[in-house]
Amino acid sequence: MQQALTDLSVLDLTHYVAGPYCTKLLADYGARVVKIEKPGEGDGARRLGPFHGDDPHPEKSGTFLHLNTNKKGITLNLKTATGTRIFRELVKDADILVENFSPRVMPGLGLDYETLGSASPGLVMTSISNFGQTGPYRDYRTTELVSFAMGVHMYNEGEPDREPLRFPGYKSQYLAGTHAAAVTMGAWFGSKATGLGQHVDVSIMECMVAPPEGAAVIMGYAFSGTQSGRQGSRREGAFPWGVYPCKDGHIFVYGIVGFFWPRIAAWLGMPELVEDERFATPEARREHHGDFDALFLPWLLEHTRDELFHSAQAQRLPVTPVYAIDEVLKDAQFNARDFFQEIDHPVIGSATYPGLPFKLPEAPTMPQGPAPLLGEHNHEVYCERLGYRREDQVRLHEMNII
Amino acid sequence: MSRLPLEGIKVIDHGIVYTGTAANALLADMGAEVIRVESIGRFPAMTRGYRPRPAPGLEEYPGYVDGEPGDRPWDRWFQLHAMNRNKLGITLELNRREGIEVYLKLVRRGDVIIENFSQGTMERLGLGYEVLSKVNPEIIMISASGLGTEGPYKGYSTFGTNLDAITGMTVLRGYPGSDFTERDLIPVWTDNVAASTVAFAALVALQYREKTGKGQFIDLSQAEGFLPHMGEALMDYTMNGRVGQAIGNRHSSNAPQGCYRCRGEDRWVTISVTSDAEWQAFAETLGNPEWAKEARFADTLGRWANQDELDRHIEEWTLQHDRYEVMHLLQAAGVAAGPVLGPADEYEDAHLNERGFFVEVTHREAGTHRYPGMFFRFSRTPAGIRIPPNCLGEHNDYVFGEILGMSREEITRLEELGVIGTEYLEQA
Repeated sequence: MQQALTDLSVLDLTHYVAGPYCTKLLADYGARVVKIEKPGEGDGARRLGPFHGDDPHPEKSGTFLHLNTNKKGITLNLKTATGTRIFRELVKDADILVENFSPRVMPGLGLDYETLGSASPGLVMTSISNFGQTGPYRDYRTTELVSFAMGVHMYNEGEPDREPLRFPGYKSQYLAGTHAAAVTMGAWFGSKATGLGQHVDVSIMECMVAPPEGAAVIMGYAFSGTQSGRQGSRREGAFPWGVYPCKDGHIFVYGIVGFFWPRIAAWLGMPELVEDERFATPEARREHHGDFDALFLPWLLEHTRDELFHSAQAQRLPVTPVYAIDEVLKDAQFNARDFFQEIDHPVIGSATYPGLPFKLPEAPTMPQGPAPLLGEHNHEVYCERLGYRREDQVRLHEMNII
Repeated sequence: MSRLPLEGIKVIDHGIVYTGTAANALLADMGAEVIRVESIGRFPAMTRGYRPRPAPGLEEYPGYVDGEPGDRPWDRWFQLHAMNRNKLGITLELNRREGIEVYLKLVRRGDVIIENFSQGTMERLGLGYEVLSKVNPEIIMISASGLGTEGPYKGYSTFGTNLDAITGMTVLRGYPGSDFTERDLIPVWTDNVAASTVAFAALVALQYREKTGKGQFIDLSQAEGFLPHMGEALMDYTMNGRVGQAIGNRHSSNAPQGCYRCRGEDRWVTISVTSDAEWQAFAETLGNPEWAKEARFADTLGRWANQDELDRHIEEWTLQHDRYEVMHLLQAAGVAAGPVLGPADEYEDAHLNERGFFVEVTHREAGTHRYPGMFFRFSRTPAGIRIPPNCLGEHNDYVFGEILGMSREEITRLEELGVIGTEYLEQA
């Protein structure tokens, strides 16, 4: 029995978040991914917390461990002629190459798409970068904060009287990685059909302003001539909306459009609200906002989060519990669907990881493998696959090539 | 003209709102034939407006071109135009026998069906996977619901920001130490992730089918598609038992890092200094002010511990400058900086314009606008907007006549029966 992408061979030059998440998606569905890291230090993500036991060790970064499941790991120094020659040997067997260096790096190493593609016409090379391979900001540096700021979403996030807010974590980079996986697969389909690959240029900035959400904000402005910006406190009119405290926590109620009103009345057990003139139209509801809150807020405090979640959903109202991260792991739906997975790792041992974004019922759920130790598969790749002798592997290591 | 990579793949698009519509659009952008099936009898939530024919003065008017619903409001709604390109749009009443007959012709020749209706919709129409896989055993069907169609929350209803809450993102979406319950949380994010996750899933399933001949049904939970994006927060809990708090614009170790006010009304720039060398370059760019030489700012730990003070000094400087000016000055010194950009800014941004990100499209109902284009570039087979966002039933004649080979009489009969059309019925 096979996983879906076992025919796909991927050479992975990525580091940090965006690139590795793209190749993780391919690896998690069975693609044979070989991750190349710099000898000695490895991927910069190995320096990123959280660390297992708060021990800042290159094999204990939770960020690295999560982003690099199911990949084989080798070391290779591309800043040497021997290293780039070995790299070109490796590329010959690859269907796909993914990298997320700044755009000058690969051409600087003589490893630009034109060079690699002429030797391997079927190769799909995906380059993920902050701003794309061309343009006035091409060589500009970013961090997650800067990428997020330039991508239209931060403009609308936060309170109107203070600075705009980014999203937590590495959201723009994970997004670019996900988008890159989809278009890399697309380009590979083309290569399978025609024997001709191509260069795929993915820009984090453009991922942020593309369909659906970024483009919707932009198109909304194009049609109306107005931009909403940061709105801050609870929107009036479209209520109930937002986060509400209840007896033992909080729930989130999605901005309710008018046709939900009878269901809200049913949820509250107050059918008389349907006929109540104070709430009959959006304008009336806006005006009597305070009256509704006077009914709603105390009622919520009498019920638990669980009760409210399920009773609202029974009325087909979009309400969800607000979880802290530990509660996510205990959620009934994620657990019933076996979303989380246990992976065993030689250094940190067994831990619970996020699982697959979707399951293929026809392809068996094979146990997922851990992220590689630095250089873990050097012998397998250099000696067993490429045919180097053991002594040469040692020489290459001594010379800091691998 | 080089053939686009997904040419030959046939997709049936039942997308509504954001995720389904955009997932299908991405496959269409890459060259798949995407036939978008809509209904003239049922108006979908927040896809072509809030209602088919809004009465004068309603709050959603700004969502239409120039704030005017016009004669065909459903073809003039901003969400449609933001993402619904490169598709062939048809209408079919799937609760009518004649509509289902035509639909099954599409299924027989199709490869992938993608829907994100409220759960159970396809089953209620008698068009669930069990039925359709008998019509075409190799069909791949993807249902993209918020929480998944199987499990204790089967049938549950969610929109984008609901998923933030249940994946732990809402509590982290805040200023450090502030009450997240007070915030508006309007911007939706998870649909961005779900759209390309669904497109990726379709291609993975197609590859599986190529190897094995088997189609399948994927019960995709958008929340599960998004949870790996919370990876480091989850790992900190599973490895260390730590429940994360909101840190806002700050960083776990880099300082200064923040969002600073610039000259003008509501103008901001973000800056991240990630090393001692960058700090030197940053201070030099600011003209080596006295405060930057203070001992407490001299090293990494000192800057991190004293960021409040640091931020105050920095903002005194940025307030005197234009946000783009700050970006260019700092970038020239090797420091990451970039302005907070809103939609008007994006349209004017020098980089996006040089890259040709926006595409001018003339649409028969909406007129001429600059549309967001592609987030990717294919070097050999460039992608673009080949077909503008489809008007309701715009390609009925082409799909029924040319693709399905139906006669003019058959098509007219369906129109007369109200099974197909180009306007919403009164009861929609």
